[in-house]
Amino acid sequence: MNRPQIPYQPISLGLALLSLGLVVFYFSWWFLPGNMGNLFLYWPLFAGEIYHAVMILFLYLTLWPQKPPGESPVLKNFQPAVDVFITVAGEPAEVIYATALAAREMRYHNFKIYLLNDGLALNKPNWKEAKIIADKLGITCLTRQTSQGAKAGNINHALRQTRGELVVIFDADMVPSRDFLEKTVPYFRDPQVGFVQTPQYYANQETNEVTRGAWEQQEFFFGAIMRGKDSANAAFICGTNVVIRREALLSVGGMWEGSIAEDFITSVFIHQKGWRSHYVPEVLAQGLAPEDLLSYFKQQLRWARGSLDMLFSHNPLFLTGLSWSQRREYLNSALYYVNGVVVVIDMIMPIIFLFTGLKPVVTPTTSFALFFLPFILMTLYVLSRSSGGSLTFRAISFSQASWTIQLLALKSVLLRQKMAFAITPKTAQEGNFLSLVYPHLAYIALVVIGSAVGIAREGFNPSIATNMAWAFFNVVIFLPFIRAAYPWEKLLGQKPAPAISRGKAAVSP
Amino acid sequence: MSRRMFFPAGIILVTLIFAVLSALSLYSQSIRLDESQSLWIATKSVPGVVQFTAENTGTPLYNLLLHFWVQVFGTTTLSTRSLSFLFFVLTLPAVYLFAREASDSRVGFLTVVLFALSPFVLWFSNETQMYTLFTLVTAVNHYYFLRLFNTEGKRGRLGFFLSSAAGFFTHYFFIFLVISQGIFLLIKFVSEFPRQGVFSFWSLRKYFQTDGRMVWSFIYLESAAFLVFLPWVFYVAGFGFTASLQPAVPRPTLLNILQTLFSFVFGFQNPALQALVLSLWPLLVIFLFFAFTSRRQIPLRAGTYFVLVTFLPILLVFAASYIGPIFLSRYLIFVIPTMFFLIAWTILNYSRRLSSAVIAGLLVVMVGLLIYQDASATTPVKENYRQVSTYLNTKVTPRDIVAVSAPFTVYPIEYYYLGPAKIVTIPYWNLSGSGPVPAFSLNGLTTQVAAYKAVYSRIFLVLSYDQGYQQTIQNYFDKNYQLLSVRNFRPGIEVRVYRLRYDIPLSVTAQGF
Repeated sequence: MNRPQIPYQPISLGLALLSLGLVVFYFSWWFLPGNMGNLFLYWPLFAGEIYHAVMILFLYLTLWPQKPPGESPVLKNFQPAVDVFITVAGEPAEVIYATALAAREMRYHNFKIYLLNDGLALNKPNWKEAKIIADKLGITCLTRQTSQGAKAGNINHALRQTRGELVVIFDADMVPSRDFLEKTVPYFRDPQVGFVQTPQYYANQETNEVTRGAWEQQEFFFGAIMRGKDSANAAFICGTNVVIRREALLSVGGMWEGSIAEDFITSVFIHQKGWRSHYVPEVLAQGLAPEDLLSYFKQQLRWARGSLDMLFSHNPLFLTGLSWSQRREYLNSALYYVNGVVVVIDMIMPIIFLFTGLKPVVTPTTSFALFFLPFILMTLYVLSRSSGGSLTFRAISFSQASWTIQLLALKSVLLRQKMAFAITPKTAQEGNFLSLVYPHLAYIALVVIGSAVGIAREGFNPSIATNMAWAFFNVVIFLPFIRAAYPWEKLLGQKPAPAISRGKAAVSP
Repeated sequence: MSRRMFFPAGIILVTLIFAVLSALSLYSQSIRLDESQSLWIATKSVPGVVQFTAENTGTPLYNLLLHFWVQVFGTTTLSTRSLSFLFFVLTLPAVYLFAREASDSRVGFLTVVLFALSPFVLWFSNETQMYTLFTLVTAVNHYYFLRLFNTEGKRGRLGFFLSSAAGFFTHYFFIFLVISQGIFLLIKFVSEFPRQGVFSFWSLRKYFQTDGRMVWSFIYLESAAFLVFLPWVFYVAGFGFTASLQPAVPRPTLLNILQTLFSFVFGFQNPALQALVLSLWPLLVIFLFFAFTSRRQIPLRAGTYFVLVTFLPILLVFAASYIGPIFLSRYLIFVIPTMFFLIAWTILNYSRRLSSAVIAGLLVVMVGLLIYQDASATTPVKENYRQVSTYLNTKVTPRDIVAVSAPFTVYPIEYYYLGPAKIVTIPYWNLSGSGPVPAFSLNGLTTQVAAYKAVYSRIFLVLSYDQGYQQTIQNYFDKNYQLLSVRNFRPGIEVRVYRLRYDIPLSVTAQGF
């Protein structure tokens, strides 16, 4: 298997300071007298900008300083017993088989593989296939009768029936490389190390717009961000491709079953107990990205809900046992999903002006531009540079257009609605998912109507032009997401790009 | 011609056609204040050119070249403006060369096309001033700087030295380019030198012989160029740094920076159109997003150089304007080639489809605004002194006197003026002598006009380029003399006719004030 690289480039102190200087310069505009327009519009907009400032500050603190790459430790005679858990919840047999087969081929002497089969408990029609695969490959299948605790419960169930010093968790689609254990287990020579996380790479990223968008978002996270978190001893468990010390896991009562983001919250608890973590930035397992927008929507909704759960139920600012940098990193990750609120504020401001003429700020926007442009230029440069040039417009689009998902998650958290753990489907769902982008399409309609209303009221003056330009900016940002919702190629009579789905191309049992 | 060359050659050809058409439309326009001043100086003897340039705190290279040019081709607007157009045409290959040196041929071609279609650049390619010479020497200087940089200080030393010296002698603002280049190399030094170990003479020497050879070359070549220029600085200092020919420059605001960048790309447009186009700036944010999300590594070194030499001079001049007001967009013309390089490089890094769409869109807008700039009567920089002089030619008699304020605006009026009345300036300034424009005072004005009253029946007061006392002059005449007529010419030139006395003087014998 060719090992893909996750691009990344460190940023210098000088660049970080220059960027921070421009953040301060930009925010100085907000404190200039005479800017304030309509108070009900100004304060939400200002609050949104404060959010941006905090997130950018956190980003820079994540990106700098980062520990220099050291030499990877080697196994030598260190061979602790390892239990490899492959969590299964009704995925296609060929997907599970490929993962189990690759796990069996890992170069290591002292490990056992378990298929943690929740198919029966979830009433999946193919639940027996996991048992057949296990028998064929000579590995153990642990089938649960009930689905209590979802994935976390499944892992905890397996923990009670196994004894290995280390536990490896793979999702059913995550095919490990032969050296997965060689690269990760040596870190556990240090008895303080609680877990070692590796990237969650998507082998099917070139399949379509959704897979590309999903991976490009992951790429920055597993490139610059997780390296930065690692420097702060705040890398967290991402649910798969992770090695955890059993003792560390048991010290927090196993995987946390109280949230659908079991991995995220369990990591906090492990760090609270003083365990250390490591992030190995090498692609050591390859899985499948969601191949349709509905699957992507479900995956993101789960992550958003879990992260917001933490913000409201286990806010890292108030948890004991964490260092300040760990608090900051966890808070940063959780706050990311509040972005949806800010996107909505930013996108409705021009619409309100176009329809009503109400302005949040009264000074000419060209003076605002002088403060804003250097700031956004440098922020984008730092993002691009730290991502090793891998940042894409599609990734930004998927992040920004996911405001619908993030608002749904926020609503469910605030109303304490229960949300079931939904496994991300490993194959593309049929149909189109235009309904997922109805809010975005409605926004485009509002922009068109609002522009007409604004021009009819005031003519095409600078204020109208600026607000139309901002609204257009939002529309452009949403376009790749809207594109991913519908097979437009079919509509236009074009052939879609051939799907490269490793799951389907893999060896069948 | 191979197909590979056909497309870029075609673009260059079309660009040049546009440039020539633009030039032809501009040639028909009235001579402008700055041009008349250059021409006035250039028609002196060589020592006179040098002296008058120094007296007005200018730099001599362009005026000397213009002096020899007019000896051969005469002083018509067409011939004098042709020298600037020649420099503009020569700048095109220089821009291509440095853009190719920094990137590749595609970026080079697009940079040239954008540069050549810039309404701002084309405006000055048809003005009898040093600005296109300034872009030429800076473009050449960039080329040799990059040559030096890419060969670790081994190649391009002579070219760099000569272009630097020429730069100093073309415009004082060349120093801002040198500072920007110096800061770029300082960054290189700071990032590389710590590898040499402890700071000492020997470690510094070792650095300059190895990684820092370029830094060392820059230091001694730029120092040598400045040493060549230094005598001129002392010579000018001997005249006390007075600038009689310079209009008062207002202190800039931050908005002026944005307006300057706007004018570099879209030219001189009327304030309403400029405000409307500027207000579309959020669209620029989209293009920034596209630029930084094209899945390409942005080359840090080259990027830093071009960002520094483009934007740092603007910021430095802006900051310096709070010591002495010097912020004028045309003085910053030398950053335009590198600015278009950044734009071209950015656009060509987009996906192919997006790149083509953006290039097409940008060219359409630039050409559209170029035509509008040339054709519109509301273009703010158009100065119709020819119309003023034509008006005076038909209206004045030997019993009248023409008084021009600000004094230096007498040059463009005199260029076209053929009337029988005497021309003077307020405050009075002896053009045939040397020395700066005297300071204005109300007492001086009263004495000056009283002398005219004894001799002339009417005074034609031509007011433009307010130097802070225009309103006082107008109030004085309004209060003391009968206003006969007012005629306005663009931009903000006003001719006010006052009756000085009712009886007709017996003879016009006074020889002026």
